[in-house]
Order: sequence, then structure tokens, then C-alpha cells
Amino acid sequence: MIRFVNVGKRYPGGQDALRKVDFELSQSDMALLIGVSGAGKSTLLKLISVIERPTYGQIIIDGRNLRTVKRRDIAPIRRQIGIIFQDHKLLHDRTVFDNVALSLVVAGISYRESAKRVRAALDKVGLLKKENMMPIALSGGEQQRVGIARAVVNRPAILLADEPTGNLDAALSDEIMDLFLEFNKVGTAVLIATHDLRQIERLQKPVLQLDHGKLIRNDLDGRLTAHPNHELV
Amino acid sequence: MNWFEQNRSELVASLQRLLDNSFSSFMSIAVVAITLSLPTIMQVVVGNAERLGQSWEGRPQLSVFLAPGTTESRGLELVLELQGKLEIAQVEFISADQAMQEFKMLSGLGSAVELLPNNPLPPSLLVLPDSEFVSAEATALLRTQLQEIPEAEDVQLDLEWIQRFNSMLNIVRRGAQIVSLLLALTVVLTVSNMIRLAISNRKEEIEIIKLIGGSDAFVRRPFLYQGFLTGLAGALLAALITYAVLLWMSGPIEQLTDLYGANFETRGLSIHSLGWLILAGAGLGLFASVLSVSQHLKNIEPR
Ligand SMILES: Nc1ncnc2c1ncn2[C@@H]1O[C@H](COP(=O)(O)OP(=O)(O)OP(=O)(O)O)[C@@H](O)[C@H]1O
Ligand SMILES: [Mg+2]
Repeated sequence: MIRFVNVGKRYPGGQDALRKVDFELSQSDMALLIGVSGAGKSTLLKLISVIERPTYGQIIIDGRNLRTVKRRDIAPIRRQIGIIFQDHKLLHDRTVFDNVALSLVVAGISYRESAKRVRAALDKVGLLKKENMMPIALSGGEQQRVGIARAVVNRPAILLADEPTGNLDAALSDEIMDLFLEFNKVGTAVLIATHDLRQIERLQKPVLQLDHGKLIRNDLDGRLTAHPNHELV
Repeated sequence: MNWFEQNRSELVASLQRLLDNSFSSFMSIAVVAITLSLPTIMQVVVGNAERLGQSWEGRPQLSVFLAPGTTESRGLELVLELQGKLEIAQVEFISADQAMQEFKMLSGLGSAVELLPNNPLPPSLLVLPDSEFVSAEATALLRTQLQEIPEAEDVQLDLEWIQRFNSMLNIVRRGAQIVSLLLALTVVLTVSNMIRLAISNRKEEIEIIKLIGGSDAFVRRPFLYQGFLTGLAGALLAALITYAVLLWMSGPIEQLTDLYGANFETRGLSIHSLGWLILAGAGLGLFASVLSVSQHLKNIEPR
């Protein structure tokens, strides 16, 4: 599904945010991306969603090399990826329904078909009753679930989440994570960057750990690339 | 969703957005309308003046003023003689008495003129050239021929001031073209600035749409519609302004044209010109938004 081969990223004027990262996430995988602040988690997710391009190495999704992909091919790739943000990135001038429908509108799906799918996605995250409300009237956890509904409504092959539970309490975090589990069960690859180490215990899912841009733990390969007792966080 | 459906729903959404921001939209539309109405009004006025000039141009006249003592019989002799000429369509002898009668009527002085000891007006011949001989050269040639009549004291060509009128009209027309060009540029600047503002107001929305897989074309489209609709609405409003202004001006203009030609009728904005106005408005609006979008949209990328 996603393959990183010797990937590095250096921001202009900055130091290396990622160094020589190798891993492969397959269609059935759900993995947690951890590391201290500044370790490069967001950068890694931005490379997958082609918000940034790698400085060296190859990132392959569905046989396409993201380092060299043409500008006009980026949008179709992003439609294959559902992205969830810590700050939700909802549009506050339209309803919950319209926020979720936007994913289908940009994909050129008819309104009749959209309505069915939007309601199904909202039902899945438990917000069907609030489809006509404005995002501002929702709690943080509810807004996050709207963001998840928007990310999954077009049935993406990959779900990326950057600290989706950053602002939520433990119970709400568990709820959100369980949603991801469910999407993964039906065949969506999921990669979640998180500071919430409790979830590692709870979910029992493979971990990718970054430290100063280096991948020091890669459970996806079934092996550790650094000291097994390397301090987490 | 097919291309047509998608465009239709985008069009509806853009219209909705124009209505939602009704005040600022209306301001832009009003600026476009005023800017477009100026050249339109100029065009209508110049068009009428052209037609007025043409209606005169078709019938130049020559007045041959004869020596004061010329008798009526000599005058009629000259009429017969001149009517035989190929270049001349019609000749009329106007005796000193007739001239006085006309003068009394036109001047409004009435019987006051009768106080004069004798009639100061000369008898004259009014010569209308044949329609084949109305060019500037032909009438100039005819004029020299008429000057050779022994009794002729002066020959006046009524065409000269028409030519002057027409050359002035040429200058006005050129000026109007330049002004129209500058005003078209003003429309483009107004609309592209409005689109630039709309883009920066919706920066966040654009970033989010791009993040969830909206293509450049998808992001671009509503702004193109907005420019197009603003130009179109501006043109329609400009047509209304033009009609109103022409209606207001029509009274005095008709008074003026009545003085010069009884059968001259002023014309308002033709269907043809209205079509051009709408085409120009919508086209300039679309062009301006294409310019603005290509300049400002590429800088907005998700971070
Ligand atoms: N746009 C940028 N320009 C320059 N440097 C950047 C940029 N974005 C990130 N960096 C740098 O790259 C490194 C990795 O940043 P990144 O945001 O990927 O970390 P992170 O693991 O997501 O941290 P956090 O847990 O705080 O979100 C940091 O040193 C950061 O300062
Ligand atoms: Mg981060």
C-alpha cells in the first residue's frame, strides 16, 4: 500500500526532519506512529499526503512515486487518502452534512448518491442527528468525529490521522481510536500519529517510532531497529 | 455527476455566494456597470451623430447669391439653363421679395423689417446637385462653374460645415475608442481585484478543499463563475443605466435634431449593441477572474 524506501526530508534552511526512513504499510495494517515532539511524525504524514515532497528516497503508493508525481496527479492521490487533523479543519460556514459531503463533491459524485453516503458516514460516527448543525455548535470530540466522517465518506484506501485525540479526554480518545479499529477491520490501512501511549497497550497494534527523524522502532517488519527498551514518548 | 451537472450546481453555488455577500457583490457590480455604461452611452450618442451627419451629407446645397438688380425673368432664364446640366438635380430661383418673406418668418422680426427703406436681401439660386455628384470634389467643381455666372456675386457651399462636423465626429469617435479601452481595463482591474479578495477570504477553505483531494480546476471554477457573473450583472445594469440616461437626454436631443432635419429620429441602444455590451461585460469579467485566479490561487497550498 505505502512503501518508504530510504526516505529523507530536509526543510529549506532547517535540519533533517526525517532520515533514511524505511517501512511498508500494507492494506490490512493499522499502525501507531510515535515519537517526541519534533521527531518528524507530522512530516512523515505530510509526505504521504503530498503536502511535502521527500528530499531523497522513494515513497511508493499504488506504484506511484510521490517524489516525482505531477502536480495535476496530486488531487486524485489525495482522494485515495482520508486525512484527519488534530484541529479538525472543518469549514465553519456550512453544516455538518455539507462538511462531510465536500469530500464527495470534490470527487464529482452526484448529490443523490452523496446524501446516502454522507448519512451512512455520519451514522457510523454517531452524529446523524446533528447533520444540520453548524460545526461551531459541536463539542471538540464531535467535531473530531465530523472530521473522521469526512475522511472516510469517500471510502479511501488509507486513513492518516495526526494526533486525532490530542485535545480529548481518555474516554473520548478510546471512542475515536475504536472507530479507527473498525475502519481498519473493513480493509482500510490506518496510520495514526499520537502522543497517547496508553493506546499502544490498549490497541495492541504495530508501532513506528521516530527519534530525531530516524525510525528507531518498526513493528511492521516484526523487528526492532533500535534498542528494545528505548524510552518511549 | 457529469460535467454539465457539476457546472450547473457550481453556477448555482456561485450565484448563492454573490447573493450572500450581497453588499460587496453589489458594489463591484455597480462599479462595473457604471464603467461599462459610459462607453455605451458614448457609442449611442456618436452613432446618432453619425446618422445625423449622413442624413445631411446626402444632400449638399449650393446658394448662388445674384447681383441685387437681377430681374425675375433673368433668374428664371438661369434656372432653365442650369437645369439642363447633368450635375444638377434641381434649381430654384428665390427672388429678393421671397427671401424677405422667408427672413421675416424665420427671424420673427415680422413687420419691423418693413421699416427698412429698401430690401437689402439679394435674389438667389438654390442648387441641389444630382445624387451622383455629391462628393467633395464634384461639389467643389460645380461651385466654380456656378461662380462663372455673370450675375453671381457669391456661391456658398453648405457642405463645408458638414465636413467639419464629420471630421470633428472622427476625433470624438477616436477619443471614445480610447476611453472605452481604458474603461475596459478598469473593469478588468475591478473584477480581478474583487476575485483576489475573494480568494484571500477563502484561503482556509481552498486549503481544506485541496487537502481532501479537490483538483485545481475544482478550486478555480467558483472564482471564474464569480467573475463571469459579476461582469454579466454589471453589463445588464449598465444597459439599464444607459436606457435611463438616454431617456433623460432624449427631450433636448430631439429639440436639437428637429432644428436640422425634420425626419431625423434618434435611436437608443440597439439589440445589436446590447448583445455586444453583455458579451463584453461577461467576457471581461471572465478574463479578469482567469487573470486573478492564475496569479493568486497557485500560492495557496496546504501546509
Ligand atoms: N515547514 C517547516 N519548515 C521548517 N522546519 C520544519 C517545518 N515543519 C517541521 N519542521 C521541523 O521538522 C522537525 C519535525 O517536525 P514535525 O512537525 O514533523 O514533528 P512532530 O513529530 O510532528 O512533532 P509534534 O509532536 O510536536 O507534532 C522539527 O524539527 C520541526 O521544527
Ligand atoms: Mg506533529
